Amino acid sequence: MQVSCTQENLSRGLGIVGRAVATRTTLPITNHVLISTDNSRLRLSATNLEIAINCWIGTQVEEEGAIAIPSGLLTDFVNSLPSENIDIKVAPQTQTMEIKCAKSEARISGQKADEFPPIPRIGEGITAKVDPRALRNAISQMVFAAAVDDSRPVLTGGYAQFSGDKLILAAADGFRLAVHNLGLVAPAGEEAGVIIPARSLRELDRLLRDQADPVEITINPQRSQILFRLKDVEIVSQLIQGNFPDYNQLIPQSHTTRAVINVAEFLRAIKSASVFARDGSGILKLMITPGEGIQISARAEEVGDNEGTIDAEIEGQEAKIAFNSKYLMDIFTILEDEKVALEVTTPSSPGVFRPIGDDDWVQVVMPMFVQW
Amino acid sequence: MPEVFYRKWRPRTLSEVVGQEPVTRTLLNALITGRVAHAYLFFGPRGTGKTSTGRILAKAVNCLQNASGEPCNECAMCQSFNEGRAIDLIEIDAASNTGVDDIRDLKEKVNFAPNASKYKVYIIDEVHMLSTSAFNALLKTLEEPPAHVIFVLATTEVHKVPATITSRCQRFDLRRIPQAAMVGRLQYICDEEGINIDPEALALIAKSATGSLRDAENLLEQIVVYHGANVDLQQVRSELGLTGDARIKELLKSIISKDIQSGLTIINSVANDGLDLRHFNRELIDALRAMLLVKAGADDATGLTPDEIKEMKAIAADISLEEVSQSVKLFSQADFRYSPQSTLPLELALVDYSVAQSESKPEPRAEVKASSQPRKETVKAVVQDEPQEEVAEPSVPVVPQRIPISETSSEIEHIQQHWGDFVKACKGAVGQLDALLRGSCKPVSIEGNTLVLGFYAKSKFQKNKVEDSKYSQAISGKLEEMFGTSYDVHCITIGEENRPVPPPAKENPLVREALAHGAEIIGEEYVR
Amino acid sequence: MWQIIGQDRIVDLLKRSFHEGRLSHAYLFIGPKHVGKMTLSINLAQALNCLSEDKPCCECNSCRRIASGNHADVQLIQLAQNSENEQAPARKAISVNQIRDMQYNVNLKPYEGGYRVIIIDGAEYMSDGAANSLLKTLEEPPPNTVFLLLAVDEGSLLPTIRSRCQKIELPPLPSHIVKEALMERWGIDPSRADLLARACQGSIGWAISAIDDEGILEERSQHLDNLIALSGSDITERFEFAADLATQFSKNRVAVRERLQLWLTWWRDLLLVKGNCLEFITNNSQEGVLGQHAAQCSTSAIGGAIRSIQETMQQLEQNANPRLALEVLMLNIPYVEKEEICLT
Repeated sequence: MQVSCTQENLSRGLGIVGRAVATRTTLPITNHVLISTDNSRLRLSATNLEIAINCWIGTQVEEEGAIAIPSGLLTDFVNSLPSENIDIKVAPQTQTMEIKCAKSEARISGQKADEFPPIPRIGEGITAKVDPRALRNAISQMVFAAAVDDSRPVLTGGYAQFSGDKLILAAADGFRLAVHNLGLVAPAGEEAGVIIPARSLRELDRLLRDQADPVEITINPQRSQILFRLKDVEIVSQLIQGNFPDYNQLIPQSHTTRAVINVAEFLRAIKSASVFARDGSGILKLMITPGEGIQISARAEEVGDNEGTIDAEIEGQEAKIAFNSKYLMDIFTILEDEKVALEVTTPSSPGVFRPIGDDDWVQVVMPMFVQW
Repeated sequence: MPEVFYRKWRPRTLSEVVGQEPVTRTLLNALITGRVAHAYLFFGPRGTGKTSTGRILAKAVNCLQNASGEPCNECAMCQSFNEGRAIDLIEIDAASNTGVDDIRDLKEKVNFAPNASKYKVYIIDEVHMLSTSAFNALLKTLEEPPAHVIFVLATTEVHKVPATITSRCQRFDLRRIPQAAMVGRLQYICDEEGINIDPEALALIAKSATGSLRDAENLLEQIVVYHGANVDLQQVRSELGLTGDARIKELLKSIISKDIQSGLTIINSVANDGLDLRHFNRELIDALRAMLLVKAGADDATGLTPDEIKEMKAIAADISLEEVSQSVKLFSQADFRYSPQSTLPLELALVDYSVAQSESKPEPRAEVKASSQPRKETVKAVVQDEPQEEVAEPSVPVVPQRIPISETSSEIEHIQQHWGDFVKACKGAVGQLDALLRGSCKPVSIEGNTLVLGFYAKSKFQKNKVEDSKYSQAISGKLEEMFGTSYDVHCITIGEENRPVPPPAKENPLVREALAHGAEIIGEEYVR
Repeated sequence: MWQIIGQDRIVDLLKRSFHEGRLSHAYLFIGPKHVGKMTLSINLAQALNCLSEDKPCCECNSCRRIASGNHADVQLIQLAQNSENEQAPARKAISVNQIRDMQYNVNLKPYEGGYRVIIIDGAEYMSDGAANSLLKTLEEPPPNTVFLLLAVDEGSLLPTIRSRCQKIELPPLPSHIVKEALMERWGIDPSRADLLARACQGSIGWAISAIDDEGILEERSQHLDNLIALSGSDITERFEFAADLATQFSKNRVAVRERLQLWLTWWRDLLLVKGNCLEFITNNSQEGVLGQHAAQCSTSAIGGAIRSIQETMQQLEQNANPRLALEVLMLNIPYVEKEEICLT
């Protein structure tokens, strides 16, 4: 193998795939990055067996070839080089990479490329296209609701349901549920529901930042992997085994009280109350009184308490409900809407937040049992 | 890959739970009358249905139809439970969440309302793995559980669960599944799976599973995979490594004639054929026991046919009852623990028996020549109770095996005879049980189902300890393991004069050795 | 092709289960060290992930990476090894964290699209917490996941672990089978094959590594010479030896255990010599010395020595003071006149 490329390109490429290099692993080769020629480009690949990233950089290819090189060493060395041209050479049989740049020269021993676990190349399967901004927005509105503890693995991921020209993303941890609908630019050929690890969604979110063109999504025929094809970058995630709970069952179908609240005002009020809720299991009490507004209160045992009232357009009966402050904060810090609706029934049935005028998303929060 | 039997045939209703009628009946009543407790503790050995029962309970309380107390298994709720998708069933594996933080987290979470169902059910498996502080944290939650939460704690080791926890739970002891119930369930599975199986074969599977349904289902599956859908007794026997080998009788003859050479040859040829020597030994012991019974005139108790008895009598003509009894003892003590597939334990038993019977005067024990220039030293002989006791009597290794009741002695005599071995076998049980029992008491009598232990007057401390239910239950358990009967234990005080005199230090090999080097005993002190 | 030697029945069972699609999700392989448990596990993992028709082919990319430990879905869990560095004490247990890391992976669909195979080598070394935290996954793993637990001593596994697995026992191989295999597959000459076959005690893996590494046999015979010399040593020398061995034990438990195991073969041979049963002895290259040694000891003394070695092993296993245990053993090795035994 013999190629040359610019230091900037190689450094940027290694930075991107570096997110998928395994750090703590039972499979030592996964802390390598696989470097291979691909027509007239250089492909960098890494996998931690949960997320795999491919990145292509422009190169001049003199001689084709492939090798796996320890990622940390290579990345640190390349980053230390001046921004000039880099010549890379791997003599057949030696598994040693020679790197030359300006007056610097290095040799790094690698491993045979075919010892590297295959980087998924998903050709066929269920395909769809989505706008990157809409996808980022959806991810940010649901991924926080995924479970952190792994006692129920299916809940540690986001559920992605493809159906016609719709993609529904949902996450639940047993205490809340976040659902987001978004339209597909190109509809999915088939219905499919898969669970994507939350880590992968966050990684995807990061990569989507600089993306303008529609993202191509493919689920492989075995439905074990999902691929997102960006410009010059592919990210492939393993899917989580198991069945996601039927989240529709978790969304209350009716309510007795509905309050339309101003997002900014509500956020300010729950922020103030949260300061006092920290010690008391994060409990925020909401008293919803038609014609008056919503009173939000919290108390810290033996320290003090807080009460605030915000205006709201309230329909239906008087109601009270207690929420965990963190869960409300998670929702309200990411909302872009100006106003949202809160629907409640009894103090022990779930509270529901919805947008006004459309049904792009819904947030369900389980109430807490408190002494009123 | 289809699910294995024990997953596929996991019970889905209380009535399908096998062999735990007292438990399932009580639960069903509670469900019918709506008097479900907030915390349950299911205790029982592996494969008796703890987790399964917990799951059924969780499903039943949330079933949308729940007319008869049993879950309907048809409504959306039941289905989400059966498919493992129910969001309000939380199975926590205590071993992975042992810490106090995990439980504190749980404590906060129980304050949230259930998502979709009436009750949130927490099943905490292997609950004995929680740390003490985690138990304490859990205690608070169990004291004031929110109305919509049910806890199901499950464990195989209830003695590791603090009493403060158990007392706040409705406790159910799941027993080992009785043979008949097990056979019934296995037969049902066979019918459903289209498996043809001999009743004797089924009985043997059930018997070998020692009360664990999961073990039985596993064995059944392995046999079916290997032998196909028609299973007979012989296949089960071979799967269990029961050889029914003719060489058992040959070895029997070698033992009787004290023919070490032919005996060793047989043992090694069995091993060379890849047979399981533990099973071979078990069958040999069965044969020796039959011989013992025949010798003692209890032909009926052998369960053998008249022809077999006749043959056995012919073989046994040249051996005395004492000799047979000695051989049973030696072979049942063959210890395979550290070399499960070695011929050595059998070879040793054979040689020991032959030597013991043929050498009227045993040769002197191993002697080690002293250093060429013996050093004159004064050594305070410290006789350590534990390790040396074992080393000093190389011919009697500790056997945690069940000791068969010999036909000649009464129950209490039998226990008295084996009390020393029993105490050794208690090692590693709860606390330092063996240390508490050693030299502090002796079995005095059996009254009904109660074993009376006499503690010497000066061993009051030990008596008080043993009277604690933690220890007395452990003793009962060990008694059952070793003697096959579960006695209750009652402690009384007896006079110090009953205490046996400890052997003089001079008999200890280490001390003997020291003496041979010119040491002098200047005092004796027992070290525990 | 299945590469394990002499376990036809087991291979047959696994093959049949595999072809009928009825493999269990959990197997427990019980058998002495080096008998072939790992070979069998690797073969099964290969069969499950092989890309060729005749599974396992042992040649395709997938099979090769499984053999070299580079397959994404075949994960090996074992005691963290320190064997490279003899000074550092080996880790004593498989930890909860090792199990939890594995569990995270298991909940993802298999990376390469086949089966995820988790091999736990030395399952008896799982800490209490590790074993207990494995129970749930072991009982109900996600689809296409197979657990293979490897253990020498079944008795030291939790009953709850055992009961979740199909148990398969790999007995030690009869020496004639090992001998044949060594001759046929490795082209070893008959007399050397016989020597290795007997010395390996049914653990063919040991014999195979001894083919290429002369040092292994040499070390073995040196240890036997030590033992014979020890029989003629006085108490001071014996205690010095015990002290050395105890020091070694603190660094490398396994080596000392193997040493005592080797001693057992010698004393068992003496027993067989006494019983006039030469056919089955292990150290048949030393028949002469065995004969001389046996002549010096009574049968019951030999039995006593064997028991004492076994008890010492047991005590070491239970963390008794190693030096004390070994010293006691030294006192129980029968003394023989040095002149009566000439070392080869």
